[in-house]
Amino acid sequence: MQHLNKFHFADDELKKLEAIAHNKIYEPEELIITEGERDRSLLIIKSGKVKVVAYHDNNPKVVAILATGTLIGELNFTIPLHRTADVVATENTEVLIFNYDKLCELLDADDELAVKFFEGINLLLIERLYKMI
Amino acid sequence: MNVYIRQNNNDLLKYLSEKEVKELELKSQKVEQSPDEEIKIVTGNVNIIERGIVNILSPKTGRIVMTLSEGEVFGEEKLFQNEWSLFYKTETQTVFIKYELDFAVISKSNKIKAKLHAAINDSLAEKLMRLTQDSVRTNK
Repeated sequence: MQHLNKFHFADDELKKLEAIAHNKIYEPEELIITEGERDRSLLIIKSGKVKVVAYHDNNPKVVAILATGTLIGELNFTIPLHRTADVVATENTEVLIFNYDKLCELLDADDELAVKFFEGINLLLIERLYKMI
Repeated sequence: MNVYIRQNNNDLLKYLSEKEVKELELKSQKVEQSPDEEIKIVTGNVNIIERGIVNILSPKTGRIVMTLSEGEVFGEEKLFQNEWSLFYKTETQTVFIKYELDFAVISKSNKIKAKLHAAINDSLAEKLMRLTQDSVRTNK
């Protein structure tokens, strides 16, 4: 859970988050996220590496390589969208998965944790926005 | 489910109840600017366009990267942080409401603070989505 440190969660808050998350291991070339699916789970790469593959006119293009510690799905968590790209493991990859409904329940019940969570997501989104322009 | 439910039409205050909006003791000011004017963004302020068009310009190249219109929030990236900021310019005669948030008041309620952050999450995510879609369309 040290990957969430940039959110400045306290130890007890990290334990609460850990309690609602589960780990999954993917093999090389295994799909972690499929473009078009409706799933608002939030994922963190615990170890390994993934590629993000977007499609334009059905032509796949690798738009990003993400490594250990990266949070995936923050845009889709925030606004309900179909997944906008495939995410594929490029090596043995362990992912921590936060189920959307369970995370919402936790955030609604714990305001202090919610402030840190949304503040952290805001900074990630601002950083991404700034880099894109 | 969602974490919070929209309670009104204001995109900044959308998750706040009437009571929470009152607690916020929000100061607001109507601002009118002429076309082609820079809009100064101040930390702690958020703006909503009432009438007109505002462009977001790349701080690196100066080119227009997004166009905002009536009802849209801008300047939200600087509400709680000062590291990142965007550059805004009016395209037309523009009227916007500038909301000045009092951090001492916000800090009294984590629920209100979380709901404001969540609203800003939405606004930033929508902008990112638009940029991503434009980028895919132009196949950059």
